[in-house]
Amino acid sequence: MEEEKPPFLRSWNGVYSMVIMVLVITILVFYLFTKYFE
Amino acid sequence: MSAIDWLVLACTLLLIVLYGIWKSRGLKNMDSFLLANKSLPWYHVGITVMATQASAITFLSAPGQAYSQGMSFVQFYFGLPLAMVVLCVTFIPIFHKLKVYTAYEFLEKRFDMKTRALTASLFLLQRSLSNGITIYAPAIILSVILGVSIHHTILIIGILVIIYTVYGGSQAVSHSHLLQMGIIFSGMFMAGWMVVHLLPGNIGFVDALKVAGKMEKLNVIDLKFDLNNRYNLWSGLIGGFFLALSYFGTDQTQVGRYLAGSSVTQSRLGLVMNGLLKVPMQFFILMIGALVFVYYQYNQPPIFFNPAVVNEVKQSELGPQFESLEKDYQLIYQQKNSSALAAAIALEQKNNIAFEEAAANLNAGEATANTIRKEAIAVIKQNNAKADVNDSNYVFLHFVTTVFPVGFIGLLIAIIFLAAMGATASGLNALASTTVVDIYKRLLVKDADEKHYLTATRWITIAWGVFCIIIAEFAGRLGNLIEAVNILGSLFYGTILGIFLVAFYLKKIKGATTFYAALIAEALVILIYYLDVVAFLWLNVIGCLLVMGIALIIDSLKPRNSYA
Repeated sequence: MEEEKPPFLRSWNGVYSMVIMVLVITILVFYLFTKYFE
Repeated sequence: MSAIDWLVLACTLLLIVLYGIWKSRGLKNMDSFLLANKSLPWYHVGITVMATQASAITFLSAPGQAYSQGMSFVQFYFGLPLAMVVLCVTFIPIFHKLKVYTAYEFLEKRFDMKTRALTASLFLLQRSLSNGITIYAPAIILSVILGVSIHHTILIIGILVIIYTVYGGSQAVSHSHLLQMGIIFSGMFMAGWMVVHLLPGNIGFVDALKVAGKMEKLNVIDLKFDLNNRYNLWSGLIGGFFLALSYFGTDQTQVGRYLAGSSVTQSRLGLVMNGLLKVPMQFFILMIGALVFVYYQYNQPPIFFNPAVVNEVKQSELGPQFESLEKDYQLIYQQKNSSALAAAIALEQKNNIAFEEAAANLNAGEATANTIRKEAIAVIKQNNAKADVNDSNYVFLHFVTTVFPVGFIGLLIAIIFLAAMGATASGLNALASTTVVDIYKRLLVKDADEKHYLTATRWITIAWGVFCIIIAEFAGRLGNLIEAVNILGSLFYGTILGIFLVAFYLKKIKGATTFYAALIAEALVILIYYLDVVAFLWLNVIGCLLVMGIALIIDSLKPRNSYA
């Protein structure tokens, strides 16, 4: 059975990569936030 | 609390119950009761998953934690998005393909009956105790704040949840989650806006953050690896990943939520939504706590936030000593307030040197205030050794009930009730599903009709509801049961996750090998806990790796027929 495609980013691997990239960017932003306000 | 607040509270709670019942009317089969007819779209899956995880304590503890220790707790959730990816890749397609009602049903298909029964039993033991605490923890706080008996708050939460969960099962739970989360998010956004609005006129949002940052409340990221520090980037990514994988992958409370998705795609997108929104949501709730801290630099905070404990010590013979410390605390606040106002003026004038000087004075005042507070806590302990000296859960509600306008207080209190009800309802539905599907239907009454199982599920839901209320009633008398249940979870979650990971990734390993590996691993986890080698959160990782490692060793020791 062929796997259903996600409604965006063409493949599920693309969706998972996006989740991981968002996490990395969030951590980076939080790090800058910590440094800016300390 | 005013009559209007009580009215808002009562109407909001009633609305949720009636909405849950209305949305699940005409329910006739087990598919509807256990998995909401497998009809939910992705955003509904995402919201019901988030509502299940966000218990009342999320909205009470997190702001209180940021108030006292800063925002580092958010790191605890960093492993969650990674766990969501693993669940989407491995768990969801298999669960959907096998058309299971519970996660443990899959274990019989992959291994054998005894491994399924062992895992389901571990879940029922852990979840029934946790659900009692999910009711008890907010009930005690709400009883103190509202000035009503804890028996009443426990019964309100417990009975309301039982009503709509018994009537509409998963369908009612999912739909009520949608409305609950709508109200919760709206209320929390309004609370965030109100905190900033209540600060002095010359202090804006960014200025408030600058003050909080200088007082070490915006310490979101800690890069230092330290096994004894519960919240740093590494414990969040590694420990948080294993904990989230165990919780979302093997706890029927969550599995039942995302299996209600109408397809693999909808279930996956629901978990992706959870992975994207959970961290920012926790960050926002913690930030409210940090802003409440800033508010109390410009307004007198109580020396201790739990009014019941304060009243008890004031009425004892140590009362004068406590009141004297209270006066010292007020005097220090006057000094701190002068420094805080100086900081606000310096920020307005963009005078960085003056701001640094004011912030240093503010921190010195805060250190003195903390010393006095510690002395007050020592007096509370001296008066009653069993008194709860952690008041962080009371910070946010004290703030809400003392400064918010009429009507808004009722709404914020309703949010805490709704969060408790949302998490408890999912727990009850999962307990009933597992009992009926994995034990009652599989081992006791195998060939009855749909109507029989539906009736049985409703009675079992009532029984678990009553059991959870009883646990909640006794929780207070058993001392630190909250910590005990957290430890209990960590003792079993790792082993359960290990069983599932063997099932998914070590295809050649059979049921008997996994069963004995799980028993040995569980014994070792309990031994490690008894020897107090590591902080209990790491037991999740250890338990999981032990099951997989021991299963591989047992399998390699088995005699093999090379011609088979």
